Amino acid sequence: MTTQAALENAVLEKLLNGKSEPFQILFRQYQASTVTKRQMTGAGFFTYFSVPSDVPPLPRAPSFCFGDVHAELTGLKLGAGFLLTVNKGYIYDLEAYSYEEPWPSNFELVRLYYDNDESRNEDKVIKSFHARRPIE
Amino acid sequence: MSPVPPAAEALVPQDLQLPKIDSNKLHHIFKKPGRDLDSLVTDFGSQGSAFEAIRNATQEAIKKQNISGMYEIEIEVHGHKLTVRGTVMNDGTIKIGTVFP
Repeated sequence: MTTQAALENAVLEKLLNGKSEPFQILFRQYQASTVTKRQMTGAGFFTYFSVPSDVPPLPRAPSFCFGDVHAELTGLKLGAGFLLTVNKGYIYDLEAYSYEEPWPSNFELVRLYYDNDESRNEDKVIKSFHARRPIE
Repeated sequence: MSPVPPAAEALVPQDLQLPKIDSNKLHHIFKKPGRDLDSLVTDFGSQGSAFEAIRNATQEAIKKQNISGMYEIEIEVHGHKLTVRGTVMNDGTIKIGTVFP
């Protein structure tokens, strides 16, 4: 069985695996972060993070969300998607969602993959960042 | 009282209703703090009606753009610009993963 924490870690490591500066900075934040809350919704979950203030934020402290990682999980025929929210330059929360299937209480992570399966164009991913209103 | 004919019996009101919306999905999409979808729900009167409006707009956009498989699409519902992520099934049914402004 894959634990939720193991799934979160695997997803974040894949999402933040990049040579570009934003990925490098966000990955360092992830390494220093702690989970402050987990909310199960029945259709997925939200996991909230806290990053120590001595860890640098992204330059100009932007707020946005992105997610080009998908999962095959036992118990979900259609798989799952993920969305990472960055708030004022810091990782804020990770959303996992199913495609209108109940989120399984026990599952095994089969594999993670990017939008275009294994290849990833970092510049394209950065361009796909959705600007968000900062969360206070 | 005469017995109800089988055909009429088959058409009881619940069969005429739209497919039930998963309350967990509504909770997932509309109850997340900071997602700012409250005004959309107010406009439509309920989370269920707002979700149906999102589904209809998504279905229309997907048909227009001839999208298959996983999608991320921008739609506008009642003046609200939204991004919808989901997947299109082989039979053309759309499934919604998440929605955000």
